[in-house]
Amino acid sequence: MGGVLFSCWNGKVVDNREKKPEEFEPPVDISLPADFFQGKDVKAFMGWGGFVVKDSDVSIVDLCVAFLEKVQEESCGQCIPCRIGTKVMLEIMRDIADGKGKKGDLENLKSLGETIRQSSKCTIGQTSPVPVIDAITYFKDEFEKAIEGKKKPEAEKEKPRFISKVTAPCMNACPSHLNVPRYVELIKDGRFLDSLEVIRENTCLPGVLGRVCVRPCESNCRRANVDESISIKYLKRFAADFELEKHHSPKLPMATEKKDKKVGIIGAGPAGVTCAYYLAEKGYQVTIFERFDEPGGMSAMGIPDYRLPRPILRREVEIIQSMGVEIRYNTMVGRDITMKEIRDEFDAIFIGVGAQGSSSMRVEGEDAGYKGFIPGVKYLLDINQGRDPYPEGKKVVVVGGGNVAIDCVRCSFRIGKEDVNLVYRRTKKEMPADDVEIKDAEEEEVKFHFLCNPTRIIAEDGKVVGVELIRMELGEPDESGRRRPIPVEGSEFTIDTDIIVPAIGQTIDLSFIDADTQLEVTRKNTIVIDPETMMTSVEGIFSAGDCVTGPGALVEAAGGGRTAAFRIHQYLSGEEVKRTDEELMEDFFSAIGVYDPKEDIGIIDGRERKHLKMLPPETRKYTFDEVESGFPINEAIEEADRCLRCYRIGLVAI
Amino acid sequence: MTVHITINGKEIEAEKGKTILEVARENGIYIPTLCYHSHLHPIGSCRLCVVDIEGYPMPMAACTTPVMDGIKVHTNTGRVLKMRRQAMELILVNHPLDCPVCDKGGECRLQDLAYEFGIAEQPFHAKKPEREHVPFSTPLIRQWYDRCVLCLRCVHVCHELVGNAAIDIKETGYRSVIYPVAPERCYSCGECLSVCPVGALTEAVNPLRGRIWQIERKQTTCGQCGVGCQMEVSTYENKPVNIKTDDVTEEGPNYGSLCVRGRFFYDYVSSEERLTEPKIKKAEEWVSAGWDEAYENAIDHLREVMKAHGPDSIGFIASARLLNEDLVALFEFAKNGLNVPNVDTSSRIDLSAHGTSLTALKGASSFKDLDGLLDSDLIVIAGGDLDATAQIVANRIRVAQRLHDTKVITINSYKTRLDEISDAILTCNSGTEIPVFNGLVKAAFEGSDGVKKVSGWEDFSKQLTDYSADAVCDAAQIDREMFETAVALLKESASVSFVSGGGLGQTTEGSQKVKAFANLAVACAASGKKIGWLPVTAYANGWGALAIQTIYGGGLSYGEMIQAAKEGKIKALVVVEEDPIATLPDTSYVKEALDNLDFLMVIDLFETETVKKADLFIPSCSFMEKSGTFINMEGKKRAVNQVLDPMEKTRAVGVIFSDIAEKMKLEVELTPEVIQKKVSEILDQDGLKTEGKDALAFFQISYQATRMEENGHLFLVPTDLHYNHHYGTDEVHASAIEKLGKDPEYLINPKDAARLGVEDGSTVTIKTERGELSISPTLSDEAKEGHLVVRSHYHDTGILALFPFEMDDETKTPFTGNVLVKLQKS
Repeated sequence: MGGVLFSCWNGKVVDNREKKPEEFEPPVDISLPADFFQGKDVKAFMGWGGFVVKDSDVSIVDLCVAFLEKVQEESCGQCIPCRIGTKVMLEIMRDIADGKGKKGDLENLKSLGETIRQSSKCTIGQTSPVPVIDAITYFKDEFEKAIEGKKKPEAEKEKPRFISKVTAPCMNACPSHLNVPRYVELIKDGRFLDSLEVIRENTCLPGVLGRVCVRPCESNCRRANVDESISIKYLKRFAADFELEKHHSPKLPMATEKKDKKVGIIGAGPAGVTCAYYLAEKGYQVTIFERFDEPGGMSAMGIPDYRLPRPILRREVEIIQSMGVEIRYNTMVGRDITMKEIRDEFDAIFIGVGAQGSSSMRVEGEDAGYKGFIPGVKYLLDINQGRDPYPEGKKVVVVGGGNVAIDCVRCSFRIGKEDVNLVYRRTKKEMPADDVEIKDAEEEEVKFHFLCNPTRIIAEDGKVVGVELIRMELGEPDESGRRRPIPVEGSEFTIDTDIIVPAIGQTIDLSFIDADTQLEVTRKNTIVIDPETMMTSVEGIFSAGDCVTGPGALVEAAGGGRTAAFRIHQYLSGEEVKRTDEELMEDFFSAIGVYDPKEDIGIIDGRERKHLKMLPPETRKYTFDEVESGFPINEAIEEADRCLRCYRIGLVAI
Repeated sequence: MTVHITINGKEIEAEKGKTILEVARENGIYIPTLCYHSHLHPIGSCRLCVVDIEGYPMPMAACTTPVMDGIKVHTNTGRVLKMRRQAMELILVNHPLDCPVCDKGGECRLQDLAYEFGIAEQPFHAKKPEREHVPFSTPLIRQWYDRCVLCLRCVHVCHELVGNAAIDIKETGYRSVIYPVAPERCYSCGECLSVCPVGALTEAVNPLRGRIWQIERKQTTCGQCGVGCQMEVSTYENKPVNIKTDDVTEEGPNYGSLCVRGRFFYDYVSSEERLTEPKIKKAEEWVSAGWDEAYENAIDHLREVMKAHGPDSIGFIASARLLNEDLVALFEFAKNGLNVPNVDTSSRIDLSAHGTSLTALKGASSFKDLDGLLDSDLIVIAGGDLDATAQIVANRIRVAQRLHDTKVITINSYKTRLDEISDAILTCNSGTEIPVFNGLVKAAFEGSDGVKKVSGWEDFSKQLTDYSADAVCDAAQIDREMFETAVALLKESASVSFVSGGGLGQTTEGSQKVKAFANLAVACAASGKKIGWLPVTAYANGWGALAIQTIYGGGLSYGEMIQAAKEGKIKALVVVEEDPIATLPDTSYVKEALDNLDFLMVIDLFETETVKKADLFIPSCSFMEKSGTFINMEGKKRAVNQVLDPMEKTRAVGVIFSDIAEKMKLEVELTPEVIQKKVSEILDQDGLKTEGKDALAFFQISYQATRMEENGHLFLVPTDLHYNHHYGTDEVHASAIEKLGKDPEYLINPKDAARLGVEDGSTVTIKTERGELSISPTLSDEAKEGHLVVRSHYHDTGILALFPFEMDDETKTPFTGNVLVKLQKS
């Protein structure tokens, strides 16, 4: 990769045009990825914060024309400065490019651009004039020459190809790339069903994600720079609930033609059902094999009802079935059907089996088979199937700091456990679980034991009676960036308990795969896939979700399932299996970063985020009723009204 | 909570939650706007209202930015002035210079702003997008692409208020355009037209137009249904040229909204088909007569019948759309002048079933104005498609839901548009409303202590034993889950409004249906809930007419007079702006009854079916041609102001009776002053008299289940038949009707269609004991299984002929409904 000739981003200029390559300074506030696509490098990039030029052959005037054309394509027409103003800018710019420019054009562009930037309703208008004004400022000569009819001659080399895409910080942060500003805006406008239709373009699990998503969008929300981020997750839930509560049947994208190709999917979890949905939408015949009698995989088995009521998940899966997807329940691959049978029957296979095992704590007594020692995933699975895993036990110690651990402690009260403890080796600050969940657990009076770790399980007559713990202190940060816990020698102490639930991580069980299927796996027993094709080492077998990434968020698994569906479609229709321009742009945006937590938005603050009504801790902790009730209509509209609609456009020349 | 801010240095105390624009306006500080409309959620599209706030780098739109404590707002900084000016210059890129021929010329917001900004030159240019003209979502409105500034008010009003989303913005950038994305959902209500600040949407109804400086505009109350909307009629050369609501002084009940009838059907009053001369029938032929001759004819015939058969043999039937003043003159004339006992109005059909139930509810903390809907946690709607009959009420319900998350229960025997926002859709079999209401009372309130203290509960609760949830859901064929949802909502809501449409009171067992519905309201009130009760009235002066006829009392009812005429007991009938043939069931029965009369005198505007049978015709004038008062559905007095001189020689009904009384030298005085005094004795200053509260009481309900008969029979369900009464007589002469089309729709459930072998659009015959009719039904889920829904805005469907002439025991009113038709393929 060559250096950058010129960059101007957030107003910070690095000009290497007069320098020798070895003297090039790196751009400030922006860094382009080394590789755009299979070794093809970016010649120039123009976007919301400015522009970057790597190849001197690129005509800045042409770049501006291409950029403004894209702006006109994306301008939603909802405000005057952007709708008409950028059109006027585009026409002036086109005239300049065609050698028909006039004196005064550049001043007009700057003046108009400044008005559009400051007075437009949303960030398309507020950002799009920025790179054009910057270009006119720093490449003035080139524009003036063009006005005089002496534009840089059409490069003898082939003209660069422009690829552009509209994005937003929330959109790009979302693994499923939901069009957040659009669906939030539709809620603001009271068009709830239209909003849900937009949501369904990118996920078939709006009611599920609207409840349990880890919401990367909200941590990339520009409104947080003003006051607080938008409650994006609960707005999604609102749209999904509105459809249900007002008895509307879902508006679904229906396949125009049925395809004769068949796809087999292993696991009806978020990755599997999402993959199925987008394949069914394209007309494929899809069959899902699920070992339980219930859809949802880890989202059904691992998430308790008080966070995700079962009917919500069931309905969303029913919708998928209504599109023609067949689900074979109680069918465990390797037990009820062999991998070979599936490979024989289907044209492509998707594996989305999740991470359903519990990691070992590597402490004494763990493998002794004591009654009362119950791994986290098993503990939740039993509870979610309506069973108390160990009715005699009344005291519980859960080990771990993630969402599974929190689910285990909160469920414990709900099945009648009296004394509920959580042991975590670091402090609350380092806990990977969602802050909101931690707070809820605290309100429900879970006893937290921070900075300690189990060393030994104490048992009598084959039953757990206690656990020995050792105090920890925090040392230097480890590779995860969190400070490493170090045991304090001689600080051992014990807690009496009937039940120990390790919830320190999940493992992947791939034992269903037979010897004939030579699936490459990693040291951590995750499936290896080619990130470009999402295909495993076996032709025609694709995979995504926790079984590829290791235990992760539901929305990541769902996003993976969706992308895999597109790859499978490419594969089955004989196209080259690769990322689309759109996905290339998404990855490019992720590399340069779309959200700037330090950006000063410059508008008035003080519009607080709306919160959901919750059942009071003293009553909710004993029932599996959903803890939170969704937004009332008026509050959903008010919350949606806070959205800044941070759309922005990026364009690369390659 | 208040906050303290400054605008342009002026210190202002403002209410938290308001926007900068609202606060500025309240304090007389001008900020230009184009897209802002006080009835809509702020849109923020025009960017003309940008202001600066000290300490913040970006200017902000005043319309969408809430006030915060301590902010210092500047509305006229150099940069915001430049932005506004440039925004205006951009709007004017390619804006046509057709102001001289634009309907909006002279009252156009864009004209005003261009003048205000002094924009004389156009510094910006862009190529005008070419596009083919697509018809707008209604033929009553013409769209002008080039004049549109895309302020989006039209799109927002269609979504927010009307709930239709018939239009939306399409394409992007400079090609963006307002497009009829779902014209099939358009009601032609013209809300979009009403909020358009420029001439991008213009009325395409009336070729007659007047420029702003040529026309006169005056506020009055719409006379086309019982909502009582306030509107301004623009007139030019004594003809109405359009209806506006921009400057109405009193905002309620419609807050600037109107429906298709109010906004577009106005020109029937100047229709060439108006009858303007008295006519006497001689040897089966109409002969024009002078007023004196006509009056003499009336007097002679009335005296003759009186002499031969006594005053009991004479009857008066008047429309409940007449002014209170007209009606008092008529009642004084007939009751006190002629001593005729039989005087009744069409409010009998419209409201008599509700009259009694309202009395029962007086003991509750009830509200009955439309604004009360906005304070409700729950609105229960039964017996009507409000969007068809009283769209303004439906609009208010949508606003209530948007602003307060108001929940909705709908109870009808067919699908209605409000089902789309309903939390519990109880689509019941025709005639099973009573079991549904009873079942809801039982399931939601049987165990509560409150109801036990209310008189009548003991007996009523015995009746309830038969109405378990299982039994009710089975009998009415409603969804059990929906029923449970409705029960839960009734239990948990602290304030509940009940809206009843004509589908209850005007159908079989109408009085019992309304009472059963009222019992639900009583049960809510007894449980400590705040309740509201809103009967949707069809006639502009339904409540006024009911109050007046109650005061004068006695005599035969409307229906009984027809029956008596059929039986030869009534010999002379005076029918005033009513059309019994088009209103009552069993058309041939009604016609025979009228044929039986010795003398039929009809006063009306047009040649109705009833006029055709008259011996004497006297032309009257419309609500726009006279002054007086209506009592609207809320029970409030609404002023009717004369906006036109009466067409040719037509006279107001009050004038006609006062003239005749004088000629007859009756001992009643009918001067305007006397009439005024009588009206003020019957009605309060503001509307219906609200006398002392009665104790709450439950009604006992009598109910007989109708059995579904063998295959091939369907329930015939006319949707709010009488509600559209005047479509059939007066408004049908509006030019808008020609454009909208008159064909009725017959809807049949696809499952019934399959069972009966009926194809979409094929011709079939429907048959009852009373007659048969050839129709082409449309397959639609909007019809419940087992039902044939007739949706018509006009009377020429012929379906009334299929119903027998039967009357409700209590209200003495003929009803329609619960009739089974046999369907045969032609």
